[in-house]
Amino acid sequence: MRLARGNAGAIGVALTLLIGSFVPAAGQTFTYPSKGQNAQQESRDRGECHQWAVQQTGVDPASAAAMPAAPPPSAPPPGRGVARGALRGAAVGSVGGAIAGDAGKGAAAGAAMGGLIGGMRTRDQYAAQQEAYQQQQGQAHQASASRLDAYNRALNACLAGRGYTVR
Amino acid sequence: MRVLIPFAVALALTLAAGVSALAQQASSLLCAVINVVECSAQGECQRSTIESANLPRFIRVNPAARSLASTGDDARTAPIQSVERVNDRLILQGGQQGRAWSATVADKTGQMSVAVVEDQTAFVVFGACTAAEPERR
Repeated sequence: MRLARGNAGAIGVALTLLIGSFVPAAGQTFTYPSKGQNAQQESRDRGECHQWAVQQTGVDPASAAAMPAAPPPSAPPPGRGVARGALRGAAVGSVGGAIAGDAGKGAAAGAAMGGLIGGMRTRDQYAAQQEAYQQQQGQAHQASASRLDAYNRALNACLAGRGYTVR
Repeated sequence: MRVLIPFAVALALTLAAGVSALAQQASSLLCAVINVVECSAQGECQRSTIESANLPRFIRVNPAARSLASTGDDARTAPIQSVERVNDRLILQGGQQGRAWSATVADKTGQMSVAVVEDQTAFVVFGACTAAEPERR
């Protein structure tokens, strides 16, 4: 009985996978050779239309998919301007450098690094930075989707022009 | 047994003096940040994480060079304005980008406490330090 139940589960999973493979993904389009084009012609047309769509929109889905995501933000905290922080860092670094006997070196270090103590973040600053990052990621995703949509419309227009029904 | 007791006491004293001397004479300390607490002017304190507070996990303290430095690739630093030794404790103070800080490191235990203050907010950082060789670059 246990074995039968296990088999039923396995069959269910297999069926789900099988059906899933036939269900078109969201945004996927289908083309039909309305003028009786053979597979070879269709493949050539697709390749040429792809190149045309890339030229028209400047978007190549293959290279766009390979682009890495932007890394999450780090210091300095959002409440402090980078330039202001750098200036302050330079001033403080200069003081530190003067104490240590090398004012120039201290100033350069302070300006470049934002400061070990000065770069600390409050919880609010951290939360705001995370929110800004999420928004930025969302906007980047939207922009990417928009560019991909433009490419798809260009590709479909080309294929339709060559006698394919596109849905 | 009577022979062993003076020996044990002598050994303990030697070890304690050694640890203390190590902390006193070390040209630099390597300090691990363990806990961070953030307090607001409203009197609320909340535990923070090292990452959210944007602190390095390890800080190299060099009283002779009067500098704090992270050990990571970001190489963040802070100058030390004041170095004192009070009651077997190293007392350090400084300021950076509108923040003032004070730290104490106990010679014998290496326990570190740091208070970092700015307008309406204060951080309290706890950690532990050990003697370290100067960083070779």
